[in-house]
Amino acid sequence: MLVLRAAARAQKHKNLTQIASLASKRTFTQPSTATKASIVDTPKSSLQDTSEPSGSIYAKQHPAPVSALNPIYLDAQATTPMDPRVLDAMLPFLTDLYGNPHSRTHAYGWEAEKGVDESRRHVAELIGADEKDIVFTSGATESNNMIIKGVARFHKEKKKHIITLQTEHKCVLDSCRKLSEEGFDITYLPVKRDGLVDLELLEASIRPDTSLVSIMAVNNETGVIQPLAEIGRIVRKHRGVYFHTDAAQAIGKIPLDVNAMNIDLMSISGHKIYGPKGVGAAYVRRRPRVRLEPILSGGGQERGLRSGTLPSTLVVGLGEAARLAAKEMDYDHARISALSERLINGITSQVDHVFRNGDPNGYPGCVNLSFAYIEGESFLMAMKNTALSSGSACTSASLEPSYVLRALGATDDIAHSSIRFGIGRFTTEEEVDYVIRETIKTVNRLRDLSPLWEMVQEGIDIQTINWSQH
Amino acid sequence: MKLQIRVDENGIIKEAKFKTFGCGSAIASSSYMTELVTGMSLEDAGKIKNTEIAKELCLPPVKLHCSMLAEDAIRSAIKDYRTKKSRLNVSPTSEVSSNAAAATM
Amino acid sequence: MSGPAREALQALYQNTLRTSQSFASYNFRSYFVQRTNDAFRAANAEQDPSKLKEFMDEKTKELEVLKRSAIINQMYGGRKLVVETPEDMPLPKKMERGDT
Repeated sequence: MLVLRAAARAQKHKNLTQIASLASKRTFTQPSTATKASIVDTPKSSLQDTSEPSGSIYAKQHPAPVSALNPIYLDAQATTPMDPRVLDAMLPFLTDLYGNPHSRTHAYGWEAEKGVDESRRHVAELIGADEKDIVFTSGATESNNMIIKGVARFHKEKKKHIITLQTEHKCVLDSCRKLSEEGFDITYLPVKRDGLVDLELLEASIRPDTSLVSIMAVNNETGVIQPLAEIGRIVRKHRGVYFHTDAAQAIGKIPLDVNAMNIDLMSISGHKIYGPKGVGAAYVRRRPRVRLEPILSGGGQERGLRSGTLPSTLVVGLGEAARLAAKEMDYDHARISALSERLINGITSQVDHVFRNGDPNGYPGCVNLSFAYIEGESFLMAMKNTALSSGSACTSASLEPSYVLRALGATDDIAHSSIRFGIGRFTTEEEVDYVIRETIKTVNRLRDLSPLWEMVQEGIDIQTINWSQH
Repeated sequence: MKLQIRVDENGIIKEAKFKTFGCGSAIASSSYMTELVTGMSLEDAGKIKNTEIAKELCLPPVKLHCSMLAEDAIRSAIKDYRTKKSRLNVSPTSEVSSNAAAATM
Repeated sequence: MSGPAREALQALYQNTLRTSQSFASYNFRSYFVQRTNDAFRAANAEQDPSKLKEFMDEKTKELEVLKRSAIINQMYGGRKLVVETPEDMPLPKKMERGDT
């Protein structure tokens, strides 16, 4: 006991490593419960670089990190860090509340079901829908598959036509391709130079046998926001045509209302709104009812549309993330817009021949810039301490440059030079300033290395070069 | 890729410089190429295979074409040098430099 | 705003700020510190007592969440980023009597 008290007094002045070694000297101890836990009792972080071996019995067995300093994360469109408040909401379901939410007969099931119902309410509130319209899935990809293939196959007797855009996410395009193999007719609409859909072209493309129009709300590569209300109005004029939007990047970032925008179906992703990975949702309108053929057969959970035990832990995380997103939407949007402007102005004021891909009035957290005369992958490799993404061919497994940028009309060299900066809720001003400095340095360095830049400086027109093909 | 070589009267490459628009592997391949050929004779430089570069840099299969580009660049540079030399009809004591640009779509 | 209410708000602010500063991860720490400052600054200007009570209740609940989250973050997080300077380092949390 004396050793314990000495440790408690000394702890305020000593660092945690010494506490760990003291703890290892204790011979008769009880692990402290959560109610008694104070900050100073916590074991060392499993991620911290230590040269001393960890003596604490609580320390996780984790290899020491390779580098001492880690990169800044600016790839918010790929995924987002989980908000600590979301993790806190999930943890009870990862420890004691482990019941199956579909178990009707005991309290374990009831309390899990309660968590799931609350999440359903939060997600519904975020998009202005009714609770019963929400179906939980494993992510936006599953939602997209379920909706597109489900609606198409249910109505395949009379309706064989589907309309979508060339800039949609791969899972939407691939689902449509699979359907075209089954005999459906798919129209891939082109987009305008700024990435927006041509509304007249859309209206002209709707045929009597169209069953579904699928247009994503916010594009994941360029941040372009499609005019959902207008599209909804156009689709509503034609009976029997459903409007689906892939809102994975839009949820919690721009205001969405399924009734005001006449949206019948929507795909939602958890890990893009600071929630856990592996969960998402689909909004399937009930009034008027949208019918679709489910992909998963089983016990008939989720209105029969998505059988399978709900991952209550992940679902609760998604619900909490949705609740926070609704609460913080305005604050986040203001912060992210300011950071985005800072980033763009900071870069373009020092470097020229920079093009913004996509509508400048798109979502501010997604900034897609092309730096002419340098290549995307070399830029990413040269930016040592930043995590970014590029639309260049060299970064994709297929050696094809981004099809989204190609659909926007970008020439190949612009597509090869594109870099996507993703700003999120947790991005700070210092990180943006660091990225601006590094970007300017890197762009100048790579342009010094670039023969195209040299030619431009000398006044040679690049279009006139006779390239030898390989 | 832009490759410049400076050749002395004995046909030895004294200096090589590069500029590249391309991914990290392309830049590395051309950079390594310039280091390889410095001090080599023109004949030896012409015999360098892209597999040598790929092996030294441990290029993954998807990046092999970058080393191909470097091989083509040095061959074009040598060809360009020889063409210029014969056209100028120079005396053996002076130096000729040449450059070549190669690109892939 | 009446005296006791102002004191309570101030105490809540100090507590929340301290907890926010105790996060080990740079991004979470920066975000929660700024969020706390912005939220309580707005509350200071708020005159409507019922809205203030709502704010206090909400933030008191959130403080519990943040405390737990800070502990978890210290156990599992805390990788140092390139932008972290010595000024950003988390302050050791000073325990107050009655602070659970």
